[in-house]
Amino acid sequence: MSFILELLLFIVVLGWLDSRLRWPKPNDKSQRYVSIAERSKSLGRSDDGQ
Amino acid sequence: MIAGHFGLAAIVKGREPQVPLWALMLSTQLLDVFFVVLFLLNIESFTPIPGTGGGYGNMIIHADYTHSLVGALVISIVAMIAAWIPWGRRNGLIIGAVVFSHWILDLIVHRGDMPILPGNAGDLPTLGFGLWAIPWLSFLAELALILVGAYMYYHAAMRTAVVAERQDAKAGATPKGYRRQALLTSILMFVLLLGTLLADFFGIG
Repeated sequence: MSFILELLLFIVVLGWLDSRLRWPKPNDKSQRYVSIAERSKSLGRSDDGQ
Repeated sequence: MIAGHFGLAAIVKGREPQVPLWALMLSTQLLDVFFVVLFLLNIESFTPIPGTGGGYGNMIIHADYTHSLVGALVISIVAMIAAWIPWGRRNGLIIGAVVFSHWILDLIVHRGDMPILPGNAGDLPTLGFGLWAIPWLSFLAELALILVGAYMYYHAAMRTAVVAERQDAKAGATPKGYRRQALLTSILMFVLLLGTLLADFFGIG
């Protein structure tokens, strides 16, 4: 019973309070993982353009 | 272990702030959520260690489906796909890993009651390193997880609040007190984590 209460406190109450902070969104481009290979590729492209 | 799982979710939030906290908190306890469902259906159960009154770490947990290695992997993969669809690959992988982290942490504390295959099919050896046999050490391990989690959450929340206030100031908007909100949420996080650990350790509730 206490587990369910704790779960509700963490998910509903804390989750709601946390959502009021201006965290980056899951789909924000700036938060997207960019692999080293991808970074090298885009660096290569910008070098080509110069 | 309950608080330690929540502590780990807080650590992940500190490192990966784009993943919503509610999703991390649910993911870290997802195996136990399914356990509660199967417990209510009389499919899974727990029994006190003979000679003890049960309580913190003094249980043999018969979670032969939800806490089997293969069962945990299946639940983790389903959760990963469910998060991957709306939030992308990286966040899907994070959610899947957080779900499976429950099994890893339980492997450390459980007393050799975690099967490999669902329903303990094939009667293979059951797993668990049994840290619960040394309650004070298990308590300290959980305490370390919640302290690191609370600190990392606080750090990330304050950093996010400072950025938000700077952005508002730049845009000429009225400051909304993000730092105060971040501090209050961090304090509540710490209080809930510590309260959960103490309630579990002393068998309150």
